[in-house]
Amino acid sequence: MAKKLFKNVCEEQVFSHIFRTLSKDLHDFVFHKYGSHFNPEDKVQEAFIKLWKRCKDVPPEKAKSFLFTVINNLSLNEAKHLKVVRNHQKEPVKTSTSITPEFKMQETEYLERFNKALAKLPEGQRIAFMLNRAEGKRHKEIAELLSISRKAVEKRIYTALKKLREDLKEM
Amino acid sequence: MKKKDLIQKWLDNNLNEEELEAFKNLDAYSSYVKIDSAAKQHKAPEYPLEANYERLKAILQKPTPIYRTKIWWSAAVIAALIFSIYFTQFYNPTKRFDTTVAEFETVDLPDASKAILLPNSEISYQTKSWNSKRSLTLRGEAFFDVAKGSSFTVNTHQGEVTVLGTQFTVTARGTYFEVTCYEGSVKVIHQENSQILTPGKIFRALDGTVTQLNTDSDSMVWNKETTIFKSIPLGEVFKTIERNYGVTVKNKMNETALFTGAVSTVNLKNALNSATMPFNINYTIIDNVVTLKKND
Repeated sequence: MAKKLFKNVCEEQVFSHIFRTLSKDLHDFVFHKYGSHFNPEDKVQEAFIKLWKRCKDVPPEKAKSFLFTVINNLSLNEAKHLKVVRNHQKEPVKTSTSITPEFKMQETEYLERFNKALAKLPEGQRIAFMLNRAEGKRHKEIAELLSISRKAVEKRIYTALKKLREDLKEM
Repeated sequence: MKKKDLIQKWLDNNLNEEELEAFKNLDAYSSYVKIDSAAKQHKAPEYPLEANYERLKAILQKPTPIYRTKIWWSAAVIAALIFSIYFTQFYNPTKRFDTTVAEFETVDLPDASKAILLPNSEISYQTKSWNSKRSLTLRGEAFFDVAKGSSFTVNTHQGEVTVLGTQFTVTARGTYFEVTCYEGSVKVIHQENSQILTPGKIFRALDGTVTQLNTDSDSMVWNKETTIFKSIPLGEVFKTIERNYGVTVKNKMNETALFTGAVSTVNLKNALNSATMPFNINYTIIDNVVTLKKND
């Protein structure tokens, strides 16, 4: 109810609330869509600067879709250019105790194959799957974030899992 | 519970203990766990929310150029408006055609009228007002073929010529002003004189002396290949030859003698022959210089 009092996001209170609730999700979205080489933090900043400049035209409930649109547009040209090769080169963080060199090698190999399989997924499936598995988001949250139905999210994630498993099964 | 539902519930982190047991008993369980842990390796980096908010605030609190851009925008809009009003209401560009020595140019005027510019001449007219007022300015010499319509005016520094669909030539060079009417009628206003010329009539003002002449009946048709002179001082004829061919005539003589005849505008030798032979003058042509010599 209180939110309805604000016609637009020019109020700093409203603006900061939007930033605090959405900026991390936006950041993770950009990261899983384009990868870290794309400077997700900068893209989020740019999107919010645009939102502030247009704050008079954007009612609070439209802010999310505005931000996602801006993010997508910002990224479009650059992404076309870079041909979205997600940066999967990140070193595994996990260190198990008592690992044999052989096990370590197998694990590295598996990760490499996983990355390849992941890169093969359609973008929509990949983003939904990674927001779910890597960021631990519930289906409902992802649905809200991507403005699609819960059912669609479920389907994307499930399909992604099935494809990954099939791709990784050989061997 | 179906396998698919189990997997989907697991994917939504929504399994109860009983279901979790059932999920763990699936054949594919280990591969799912492996995929899951591999995916978790790609967790997005830590996002420093508050630090980023402070960074953003610092950027936004810089004096925004929005206010100034607005002023520029309004200025641009006003300028565009003024420009477009000017353009539609007052813009009346002047079209100009000119010829240098030895150059002829046919100018198609906005209506069906035509003007043929003789060497070293210039005409100009206003394109937009042409439809309401057929008026042009001439310096030099030109032949006009005027389409039927409202009055057609040729302004020169010496006088004004107004016609209603006709063919005529106007010459306005220095103190020499001549209008020859070939077809229809031409009204000439020269200083205080106002005269209507009928076909075959020539109005001439040379050094302030106004004369009226008749053209020869066989030279009634104007053509580009010859210039017809009737009782014109030879000096003017030489000047015309100089203009038409881009040559210099040296050692001029008999300049005040009157010349009558046709002088070619396409062949220099013919032109010189026509002008010099009656006066018993010889000439030599070296490059662009014609030197005259009295025949003994």
